[in-house]
Amino acid sequence: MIYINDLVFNYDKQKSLFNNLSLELESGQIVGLFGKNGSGKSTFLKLISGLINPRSGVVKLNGDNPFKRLPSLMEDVYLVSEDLYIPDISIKKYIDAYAFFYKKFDLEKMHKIMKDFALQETDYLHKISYGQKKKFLIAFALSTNCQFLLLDEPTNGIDITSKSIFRKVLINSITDHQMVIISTHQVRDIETIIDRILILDDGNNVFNYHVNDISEHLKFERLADISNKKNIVFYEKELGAYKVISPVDNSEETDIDLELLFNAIISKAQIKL
Amino acid sequence: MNLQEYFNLNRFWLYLKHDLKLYKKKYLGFILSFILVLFLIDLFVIEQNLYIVKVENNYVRTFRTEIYQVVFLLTLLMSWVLVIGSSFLPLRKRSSTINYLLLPVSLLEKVLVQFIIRVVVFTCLFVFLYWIEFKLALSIIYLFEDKQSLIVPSFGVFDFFEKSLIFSHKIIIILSLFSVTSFLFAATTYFQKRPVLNTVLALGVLVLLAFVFSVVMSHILLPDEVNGFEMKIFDRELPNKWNTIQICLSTIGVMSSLFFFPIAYFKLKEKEA
Repeated sequence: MIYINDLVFNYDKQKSLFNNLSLELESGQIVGLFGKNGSGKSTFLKLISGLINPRSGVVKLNGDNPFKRLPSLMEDVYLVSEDLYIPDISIKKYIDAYAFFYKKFDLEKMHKIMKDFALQETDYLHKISYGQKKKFLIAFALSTNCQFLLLDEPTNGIDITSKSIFRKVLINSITDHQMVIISTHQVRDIETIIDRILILDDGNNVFNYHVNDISEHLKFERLADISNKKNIVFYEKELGAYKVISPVDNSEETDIDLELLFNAIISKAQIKL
Repeated sequence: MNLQEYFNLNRFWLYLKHDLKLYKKKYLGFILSFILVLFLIDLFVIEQNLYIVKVENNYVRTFRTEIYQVVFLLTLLMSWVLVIGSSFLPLRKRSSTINYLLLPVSLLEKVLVQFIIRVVVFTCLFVFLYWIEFKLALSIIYLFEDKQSLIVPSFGVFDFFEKSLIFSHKIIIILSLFSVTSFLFAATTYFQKRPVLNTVLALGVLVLLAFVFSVVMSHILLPDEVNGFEMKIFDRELPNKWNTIQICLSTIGVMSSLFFFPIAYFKLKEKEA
């Protein structure tokens, strides 16, 4: 479980990124972390993983302060950052050099995911493309079976086929004790796999809900005309139609339009669940 | 407090193997270049310090064994600046820093691995390499000299101490050298960019500060006895071949490791990425 209370953070000589941010996240879910550029998504992942220390407030993972970087906790935290660290060795040597630090590492799973991603053990990490490097690190992260998997822009630089494989692999790999936080701008890449939506803006968690709660309360429609539509929470005009968010009535639940929801939140639309 | 979080022999051993696996090529490359450079230094030093003595009506060339000791100390210190100054290699880049900080190994184990490889193993290796290289350099010179006109004094692997030194002096020198390593560790964790160069500069600044402090204190306390940059330090002979200046320098030399090692440790503990 991740517990954050009154978190305040800013980089030196920069304005505050988080002002009294508080939230709790339970294991067993895939969390989509969204926000505008500079809203602090990567910083949020760094705070959770213990790479940086909050100015004030509390960040706890299973009751421990991650900044202490205790080995027992770090065995359960894996961050795939945007800045990939790739030593000049082969995939096989990388696995040999790093896997034993993670007690729950599953070599069989690693080989299976690598096969899905068309990666060879003999490949040299320095000689493969950026996308392949990213796929390798995602495969490694999933194989560690860490409780907290933090993926920063995992689909950046990955081709369309691999994005689909990534979604499939992720869903098949995750167990109930794990939590995956995926930070991304590319909402369409992960909108079908996330359980919870966390949108950061203006230094606070402005939106933190399970997708089921959203579907139960909000309806996402595409309408040709909205002049007669009542209770519109937010709408966007697009070619020949309107994308609309409104409260759920008696009709069937609709699929969440993540992009529209994100724009609604960022535009400070009054969304109440 | 769970001590396993700070030190676990099995994890330490795994991490030591991990470091050697990852940097095997770098270490080997360094040792090979080091052997070559050390050989050239020894060759140059011997060649420059040969002098002529008269032995039984014959003039022969020889060198003082003190040269072996002085060059030993100088090359050891220079090598330490390079070897210890470049420790914690992953901290030079942001991507590898993230990877390094998140590795499920305790900070103490990370520091100990660097200490063992760069101080213990390297120094032991240096003692033998230096002796072999010196002998080799002498053999090369011997090849090109008239064998009758060159006398090579014998010296063993562990003859790097002046033979007249008493045991307590030797211990003080060893502990002071230990303090030098602690200073280098502190400096390399403090300076993120160009650690070797900055370490040398920091050492220079420290020496300069000590000199300026002594000059200023001499002018304040003994204004009639010093001029300009002169300094006056009272020295009293003590029993057992000790004097007060030695006591003072030995105290600084031995005790400073108690100051620098914690600096290095806590600087790393607070490291962010």
